[in-house]
Amino acid sequence: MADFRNELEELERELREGLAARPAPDGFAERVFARVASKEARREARPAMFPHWRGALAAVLIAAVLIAAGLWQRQRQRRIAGEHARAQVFLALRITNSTLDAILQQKIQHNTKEAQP
Amino acid sequence: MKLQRTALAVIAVLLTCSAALAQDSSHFPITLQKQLTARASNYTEVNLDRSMLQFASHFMDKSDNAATRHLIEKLNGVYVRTYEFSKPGQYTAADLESIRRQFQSSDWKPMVRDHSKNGLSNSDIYVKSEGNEILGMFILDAEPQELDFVYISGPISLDDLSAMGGNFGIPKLKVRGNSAAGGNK
Repeated sequence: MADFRNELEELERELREGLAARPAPDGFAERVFARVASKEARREARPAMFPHWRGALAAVLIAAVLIAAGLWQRQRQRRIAGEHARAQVFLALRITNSTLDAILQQKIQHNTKEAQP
Repeated sequence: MKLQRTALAVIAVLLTCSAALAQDSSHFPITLQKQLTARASNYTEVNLDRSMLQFASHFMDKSDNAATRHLIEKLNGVYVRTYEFSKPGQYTAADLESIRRQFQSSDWKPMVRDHSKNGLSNSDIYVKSEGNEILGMFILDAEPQELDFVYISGPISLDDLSAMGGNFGIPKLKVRGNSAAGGNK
């Protein structure tokens, strides 16, 4: 029982010694700050991966999209104009044939009337 | 330098002339057109020059009549004017004469001239021919409340027009030219 108590006391003493606050070594904080500052400086100094390539790639992609949109729009306008021209052709032919037919029929009627005694 | 200036002046004159010709290609007096348009209750104007006809032919699909495509590909222009008036007397005989006058040159021959004595209807068909080929056609149909003009420039025949009838709302020609041609009054 006494051994057990001794062991407990020993353990308690070791814990107390181990958990006791100890002052940081001299210059510890300065060294830590200096280390952090040097890491940040190195990160800033390191060049980004292909910075110009990224910009150029973005510009090319934007240009490609704009060109494709422009071509599509131009094609669409051309198709609309073509359909309009086609409709105009048929309108012109409709008017031509109906006018022509009316005139020719009228002429035949007049000729028939004149031929009658 | 002087040569360049001369060349530029020549080009400018040519461009002006071609623009004037292009404007006049429809054979309709511009001032009369404006007057008729202002008086009409309803009007239709169709201007199809050669380039426009070629352009339109590219948009004719397989379902379109092959005869139509063939016809318009060889034409130089098709110009149509129709005017509807709410009351008679919106145009004069002089107006019609100013249009007819352009087709009274030696190139053009009247194929049909049907003028009623009371002046209620005036119909004219003029054709421009070279040999047996018709190279142009002008149609004028004047009713008291309606005026129709059609000018077709380029090789055309009544058979061509008749072949297109029955499609796309284009009426069939019930009569052919031989029954009425040459009937001057």
